[in-house]
Amino acid sequence: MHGGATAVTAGWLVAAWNSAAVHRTTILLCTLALWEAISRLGVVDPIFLPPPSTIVLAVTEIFDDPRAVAAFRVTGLELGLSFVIAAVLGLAIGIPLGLNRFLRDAFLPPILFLLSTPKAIFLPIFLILFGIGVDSKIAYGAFSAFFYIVDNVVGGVGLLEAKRRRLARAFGAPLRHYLVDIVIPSALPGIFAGMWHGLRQALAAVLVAELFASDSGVGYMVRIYTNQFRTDKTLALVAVVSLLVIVAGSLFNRLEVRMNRWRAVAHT
Amino acid sequence: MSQAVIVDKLSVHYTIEQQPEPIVALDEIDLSVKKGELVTIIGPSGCGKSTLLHTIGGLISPTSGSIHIDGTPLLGPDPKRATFVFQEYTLLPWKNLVENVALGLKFAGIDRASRTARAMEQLKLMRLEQYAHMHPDQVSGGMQQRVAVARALAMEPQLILMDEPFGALDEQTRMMIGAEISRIFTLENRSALFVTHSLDEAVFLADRVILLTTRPGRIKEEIIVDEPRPRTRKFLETRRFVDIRSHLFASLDVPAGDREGADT
Amino acid sequence: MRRRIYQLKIWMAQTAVVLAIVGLWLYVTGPGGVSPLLIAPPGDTLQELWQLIWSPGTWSDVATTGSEIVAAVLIAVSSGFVIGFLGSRTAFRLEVWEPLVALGYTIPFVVFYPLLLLWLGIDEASKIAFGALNGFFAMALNTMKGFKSVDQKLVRTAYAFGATPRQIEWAIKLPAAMPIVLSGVRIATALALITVIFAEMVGSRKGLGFQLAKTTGTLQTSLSYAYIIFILMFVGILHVIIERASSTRR
Ligand SMILES: Nc1ncnc2c1ncn2[C@@H]1O[C@H](COP(=O)(O)OP(=O)(O)O)[C@@H](O)[C@H]1O
Ligand SMILES: [Mg+2]
Repeated sequence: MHGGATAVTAGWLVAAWNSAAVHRTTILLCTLALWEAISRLGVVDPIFLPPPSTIVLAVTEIFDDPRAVAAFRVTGLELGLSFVIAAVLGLAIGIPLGLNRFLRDAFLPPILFLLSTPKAIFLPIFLILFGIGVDSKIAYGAFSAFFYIVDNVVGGVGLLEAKRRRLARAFGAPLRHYLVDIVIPSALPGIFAGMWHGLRQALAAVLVAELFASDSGVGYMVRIYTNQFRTDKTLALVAVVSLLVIVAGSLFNRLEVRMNRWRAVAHT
Repeated sequence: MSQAVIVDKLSVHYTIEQQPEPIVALDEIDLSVKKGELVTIIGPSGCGKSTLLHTIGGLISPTSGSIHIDGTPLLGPDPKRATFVFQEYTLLPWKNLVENVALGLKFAGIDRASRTARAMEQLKLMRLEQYAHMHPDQVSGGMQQRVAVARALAMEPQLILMDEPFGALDEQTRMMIGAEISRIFTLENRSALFVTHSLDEAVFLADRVILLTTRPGRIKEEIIVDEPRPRTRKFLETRRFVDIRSHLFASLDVPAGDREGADT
Repeated sequence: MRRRIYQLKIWMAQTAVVLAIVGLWLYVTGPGGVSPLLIAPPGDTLQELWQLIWSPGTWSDVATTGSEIVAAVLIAVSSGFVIGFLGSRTAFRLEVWEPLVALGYTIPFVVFYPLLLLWLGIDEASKIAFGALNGFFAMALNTMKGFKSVDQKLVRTAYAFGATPRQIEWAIKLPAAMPIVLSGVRIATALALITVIFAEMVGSRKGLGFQLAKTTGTLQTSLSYAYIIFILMFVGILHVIIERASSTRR
């Protein structure tokens, strides 16, 4: 009986040793432990790099700071609006480009060029035009996300097969039905990829704009905390934003699986 | 008896870039289908069968000649007059089978309740009603093509155009579905043009078989199959069937080794 | 012939859009239009651009920014390749490391820049570190994906012909993984470039990004536009160089 229990334990250990997830968790925990140690033992100055435990405490602290809470609200609003604007414009321009070879050949190359440029250089234009407040962040966020969305939507619409176009023509699909029943479902993988990249890009752009010049938002708070040498609070903000991105990413994945259920059906 | 479709001196040329001479796919085709008649078209691969069907349905504009359906000229796709069943599988995978059957009705602006009812009727006729809420990926290729036929029938068109709809199926399934088609088209009194590369299918289904020549596509011969419809599989074993089939086989006159080969 | 006409039509459509934008630009900045402080008139912008090109100061900024980008790219690409290579030696290691690197790729690193400024100071080091940090994850992830994509049949055949493990790594797997690894180089370069210029805009004392940021603060709108156009040209030339380099190396 004793031997049986040992065998079970050993079996469980072997299973753990063979599990990639266990390895990953171990690696993450070891990194955190090492970080904690070098910071606590004074190998690096904890003012410059506070240990993880301090950062966790700082997270609770920033949620007590009404300015930080307001900052999250402002950044969330900027992100939401800029994403919606970029998504609408991205679909409105991406779908025609995807459907029409001439439009694509003429206008996709300049869009791809702008996609690969540092969009931050256009920030001054937005700041001068819209001022230092929320408007310029929304406009700049939408501008940055737009290119990613268009690129992916065009790629998605490219998945539309010739036989589906022919079907739509033969059955006399009016434009609205052609788009809703045939083009968009075919393009869904590209549209989803575009929305996800667009969302991430809009967030990065909003943060960039806030870091560059602003009087509110998470990027602004990062600047404030850094200027006060509150590295722990800065890192706490970074941690919260990163966590939100990761959660959003998994929600997005789940939504995509749901929307693509007919595709999943094909594999079972 | 009045005509469902009249095709008059129809020619189609394809122009290809960097090639001075156009390809003559069809050359002065005259053809008609009576109301309720089922005409099959057979011919070697690449002779222009798909081109003919697509042109009659308005998907390709003719180089010269005209097409009249029910007495009025056809100038572009018009699903209420001529509806297609395509060679490739074209059901939409993101819609279930009833929704697929109702697709053309939806495009025509018919409300959900009545289009669903009409689509269900068609599925019942095909004996597929128990699969109505499945998705195309969950059923066999043969079933998918039967649903595609139901989708065409649901439009209640004056003419149905079928381009080797069962070409990818095995012979056994093909003849079973053929009997089904024969039953329904007779029952509903539908006029149809049916392209195939299978001699058996051509003779089994047809009131009349049209034989096309290789490029340029011209009509080589027409054969009446004088046997009442609907037909059952017993017809395959009759003397008349075998005679017509061997006559057609001789007329097809394709190089040895390429007979009844896979079509494109 | 037909292709030439098509090309001509494309060119005409592009010209039409450019003309429309310039026309609109001229119109809104024209008489009775927006103040030149809000939107710089095209004429003024071109004049400033011309002066920029002939001023030696500009070229020393180009040198600063360019060398920061090159350093950031070299660090990102080499470290990303090493980590990606080590992390993809076995299927199990890939399973452990790839999600970790992918996780790192999702973190919005832009918010780290003020910290890097604090840690490394306002000079080149912080820009290089920032650019390298942003490029690193893309490079490591693509290296892993590249090695993951190598056809195992190729490897087995090589074993069957008596190749040593080292030969398999360098002569079989690396060339097969190369296209995806190279696309990693391109993405890492684009990211490093984007982030270095942004870093200069947020905190520095020289470089193209710094000069651009300075014009905004002082409301020299036409100079600001001139810098934007200048940086776009700079980036365009860099892209051409990278495209050439990563396609000839194959
Ligand atoms: N879009 C096209 N452009 C040029 N040639 C074509 C095109 N479509 C078909 N053809 C040519 O026209 C001929 C008839 O084709 P098709 O109607 O598809 O024949 P079938 O259906 O009998 O196999 C073939 O030689 C084919 O190569
Ligand atoms: Mg064909």
